[in-house]
Amino acid sequence: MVAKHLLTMLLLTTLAFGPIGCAARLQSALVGSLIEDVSAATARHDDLDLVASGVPTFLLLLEGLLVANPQDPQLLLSAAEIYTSYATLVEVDDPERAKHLYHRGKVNGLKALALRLSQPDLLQAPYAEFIRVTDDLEASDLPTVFWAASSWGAWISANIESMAALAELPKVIKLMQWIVAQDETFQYGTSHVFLGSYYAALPPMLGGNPEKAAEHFDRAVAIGKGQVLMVYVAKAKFYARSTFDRALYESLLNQALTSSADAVPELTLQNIAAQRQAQILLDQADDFF
Amino acid sequence: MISFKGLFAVVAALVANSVAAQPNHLLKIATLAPEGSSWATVLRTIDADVRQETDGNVGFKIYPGGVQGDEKVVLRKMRIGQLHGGNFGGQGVSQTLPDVLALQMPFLFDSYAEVDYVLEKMDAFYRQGYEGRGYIFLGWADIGFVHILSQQPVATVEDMRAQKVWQLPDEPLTSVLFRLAGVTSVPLNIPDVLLGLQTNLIDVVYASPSATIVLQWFTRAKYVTQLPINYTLGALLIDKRAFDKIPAEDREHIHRIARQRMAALNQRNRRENDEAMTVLQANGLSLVEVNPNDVETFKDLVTSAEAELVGQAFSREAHEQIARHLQDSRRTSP
Repeated sequence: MVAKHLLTMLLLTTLAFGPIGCAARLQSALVGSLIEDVSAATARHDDLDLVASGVPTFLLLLEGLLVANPQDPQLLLSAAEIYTSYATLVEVDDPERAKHLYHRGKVNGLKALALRLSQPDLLQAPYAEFIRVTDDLEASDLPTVFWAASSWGAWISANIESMAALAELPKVIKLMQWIVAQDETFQYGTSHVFLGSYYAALPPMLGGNPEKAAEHFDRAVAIGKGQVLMVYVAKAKFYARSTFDRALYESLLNQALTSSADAVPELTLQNIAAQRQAQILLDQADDFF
Repeated sequence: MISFKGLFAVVAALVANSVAAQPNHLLKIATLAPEGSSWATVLRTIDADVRQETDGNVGFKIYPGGVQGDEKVVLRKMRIGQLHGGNFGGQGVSQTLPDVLALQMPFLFDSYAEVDYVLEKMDAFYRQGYEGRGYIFLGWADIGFVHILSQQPVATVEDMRAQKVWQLPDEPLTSVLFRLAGVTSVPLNIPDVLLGLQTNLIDVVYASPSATIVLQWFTRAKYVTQLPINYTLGALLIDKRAFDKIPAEDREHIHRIARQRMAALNQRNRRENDEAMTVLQANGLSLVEVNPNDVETFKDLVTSAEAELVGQAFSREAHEQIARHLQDSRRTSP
């Protein structure tokens, strides 16, 4: 019964064409640098529609590269990230197609994570054994864990009616908690936003925790120095709504809308997406309160 | 692929629609269940149907995810007219009408077929019971059969005595049952149960299989007992004063739509519980079977508790009517 929107809308603003920081470093330096350049340019772009229409081409290119390099961790991770981001866009119109895309994201992300583990089978093991996964991880695994957990979480969110999918959520939470413990500032504190949204999306009677949610969001705001606008959007969407605080809801969304989207160039595209989301949520306020 | 223009068109249409279709009777309905869950979704479906069938005269405004507070608070807000209804879980339904507890006695029902038979026969009884207390009953919401999750196998009453058993504070049925069984129970509110399992404050919990997944209790248990303990259910209730203001014809539409949609919800919830039972085992929990003699010992315990519960926790009338229908059901389809 976890909220359908727990991750999807969040990811629209967090992942959607965000900085592909861990872009592929291929054996082929030429292609590798091309992907990095495209990624960097994409993150800095200010035309979301243009970027969105170019994604399928980019994905096909990645798939082609993966055929030649099926074990390349960076390619797998890029695929996880871009499939997941693209799926959040597709989901509004075609949830069934989005599920297939999320699935590809999850599979690629878990493959990348498995390459880092001495006992990759633990990923599929019961939770009590799974938690040993983090003993195996080190600081250099941050990007892998982050994108694997994000694509996994997004897939769960899209399949929330499935008990099997829902039963995997504690594993994703565990990975996100590991990221926060390891380096809470990674990806501008996005793991805090994920955990904040998770704790805020459910009422306490069903496992939610508004106090913990507030702590995570506050850390994310501090880490992002007000330049990561999706933090405001997620806090409004999950925390302000669940605490039924309309004044907070509107002030957070207005904060996102009036802030500069390109203060940090590599956050430009993500912030533009966040502002669009903020406007939609602001217009819907009467439906929620 | 979606363009953002497309998205905006949809949103604009929704906004325009909701402005144009402000109903004359807006029923504000709350539920603890979050957006996207089957319980919240069924309310949205009922709302859409009701708006259509009443030509926009009646609509629901839905507050999912417990944003209006827990069930106690929702009931209080209903009394002062701030809210008009709720899709209540176990506690809310029995607080408004204790006779619902008579349906939730352990080992009462052996199957969903029996549940459905008895609920159908008892429909007027509960409908009138709720109406007498100021609520319009729009349908049951299936939570499902409760199963035991534990650190050590639970196949007998002795197994329960050997472990620390969770209890929901002030819950009338378990209060009596655990005392008679000589079980050490530890009262904890639901939000504290997961931590209680993690810190070994408790070893034994119980809930519907899907609830043990949602609440993540399954991550801290090793065994699940196959024997279903008791059937649990919630209900969609509307404040009678608000409901009576709606024209009779529209009230009938609402009753009919809700009955149909809640039945579909129950089928979905039952499928989810079946799936959840499989998922628990796939996640490493071992299934504990209870042999027939020990089932009888459990049942005897419940029978001995009846003396204290019947006429106290719920009415003798409810208990006896249910027992009679159950007998009929077993006679017609043994």
